[in-house]
Amino acid sequence: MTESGENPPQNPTPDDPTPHDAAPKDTAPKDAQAEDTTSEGAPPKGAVPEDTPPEDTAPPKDAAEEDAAPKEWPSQGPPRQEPPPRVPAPPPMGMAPPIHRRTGGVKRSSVIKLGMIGGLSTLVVGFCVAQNRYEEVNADCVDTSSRQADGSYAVVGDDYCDDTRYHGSHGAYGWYYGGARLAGRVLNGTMIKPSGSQISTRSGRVIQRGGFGFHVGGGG
Amino acid sequence: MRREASRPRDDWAATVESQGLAFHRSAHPEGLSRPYWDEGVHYVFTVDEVLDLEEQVEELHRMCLAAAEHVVAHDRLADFAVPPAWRGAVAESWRRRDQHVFGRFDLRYDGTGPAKLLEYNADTPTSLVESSIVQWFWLRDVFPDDDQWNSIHERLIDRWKALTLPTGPVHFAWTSADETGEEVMTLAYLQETAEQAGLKTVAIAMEDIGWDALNRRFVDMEHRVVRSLCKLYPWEWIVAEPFGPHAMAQQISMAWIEPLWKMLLSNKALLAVLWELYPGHPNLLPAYLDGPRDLAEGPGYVEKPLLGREGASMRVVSPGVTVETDGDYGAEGFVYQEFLPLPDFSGWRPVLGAWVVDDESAGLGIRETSGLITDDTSSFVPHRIHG
Repeated sequence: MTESGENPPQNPTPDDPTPHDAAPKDTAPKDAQAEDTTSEGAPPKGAVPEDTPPEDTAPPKDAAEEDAAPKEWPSQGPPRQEPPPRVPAPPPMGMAPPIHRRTGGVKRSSVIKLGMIGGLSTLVVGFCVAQNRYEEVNADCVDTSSRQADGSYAVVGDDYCDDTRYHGSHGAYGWYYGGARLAGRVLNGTMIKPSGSQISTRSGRVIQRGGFGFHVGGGG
Repeated sequence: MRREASRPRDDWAATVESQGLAFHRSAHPEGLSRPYWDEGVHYVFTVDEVLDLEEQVEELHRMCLAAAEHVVAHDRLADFAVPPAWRGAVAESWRRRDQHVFGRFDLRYDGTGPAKLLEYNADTPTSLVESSIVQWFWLRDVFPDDDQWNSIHERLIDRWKALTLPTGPVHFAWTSADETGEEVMTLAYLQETAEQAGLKTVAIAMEDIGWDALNRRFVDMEHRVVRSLCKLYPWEWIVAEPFGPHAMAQQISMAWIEPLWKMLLSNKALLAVLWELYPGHPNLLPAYLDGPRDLAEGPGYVEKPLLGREGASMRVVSPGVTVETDGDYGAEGFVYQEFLPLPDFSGWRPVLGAWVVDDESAGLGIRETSGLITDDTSSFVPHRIHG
């Protein structure tokens, strides 16, 4: 299950994997020359004609374009929607405002569903314990249907918890974090993945590779 | 817009290679009469033409965003052959407006009328180094007093600076399956612009990206967590690969460049949706999903696979013209767009690649072919602005 064991890289790294070297290292002259162009008085890229307002007066530009728009349209053709307004583009047609949610990558909902089996209060306590562990948290793959009165679960092979493996319709396997192992069972942990910790199995990290890269010729 | 011949620099091959265009030999099919980078000719535009084209590009971009909104709001993702399991994630990515960096319109333009949209390479655009760097240095060497429609480099740096990214380095992932080096080159250049924006970056092969099943996150070869990933690997491929479900689960917690919603713009079904929303718009050609309709009786049409690349699997059906290109694309369906031949300049047919960075027009790269379909035999030619 370790990286160098069962999951070797599908394509070994080339001798020099740093494509960085292929990049033009010295692109600074471009900037410098762009400034030269300006100082020489040649029209810079995207220069506005002299009779138009300065670039920072956006509203007049908007108005100018709206005025100009109709004459660019051909008269033929059925009615059509007007193109969206000029930049800065407001969200077109009732679009939701841009939201960039960054939740730290924890998708708790599905895990809580599994954990409900064991009772929520126990889970929350276990979760906090796991949270307070600063360094590594162990994980065991357990049969979630095997919970006993003491709260322990039967430990199964790690590969049962591998997402890419099909386990049948009941799917009653999941990772159990920060638990104490005792004779093939584990307890005092949590089903909720602790955030901000490095999680490992007893046998080490589980890294699968080679899940991308089955097609050729991506550019267009 | 005119096409001019000019004498190539004596050391042009070594020069463009030193500027990063390492693949210009390897990526080009053998037996062609001209090199991939051909500075023996170039196009000349007036400032007014470029200003006008910039307006058209930005309007097209806004229309495409409105089309994405329409597709999500009216649940049209099936028309884009987005797998059912992914439709919700694509819609959510759009509703969040996950941050994006760049894209490239392919336009038909002959210098006389409005530009016509042929497609939007909004997910995995290439020919970036040629457009941003190589033709710029060509201009400085050969026509130092002229200008160029090209602020791609500066705008990319500004865009990287403006992004709100998770902590940790930005990973740039190429596929080691790309033997031409084009993808590595493009990603290395993107990485360079991100570095210049002050970001910490790491290069990795897509094939080497690891999934840490316990911690539920992607990791690189040094076990660093991948929280920001810039790729040139199309989303339509990712969704069908073993790590696809993980990628779907990591939509909120990671920054993906380009984001998942770009699937809606890089798909040629977009052309038909745009025509529905803006029929008769001067920058659009009639396009339909359900067949060529009246185009078959009129000017003819081009059958384009929704997810085709490099001009493959295309078919032109027009009075007196039948052209087909090889390819295995099209299982996901086709769009039928009115056939308007690329303009003929001295026997060569240019396609304008108009770059968009953030939501603004950023520059131009031109490819020429002898045929009606711009494919991997095309050559990149520089341009300048004069007068």
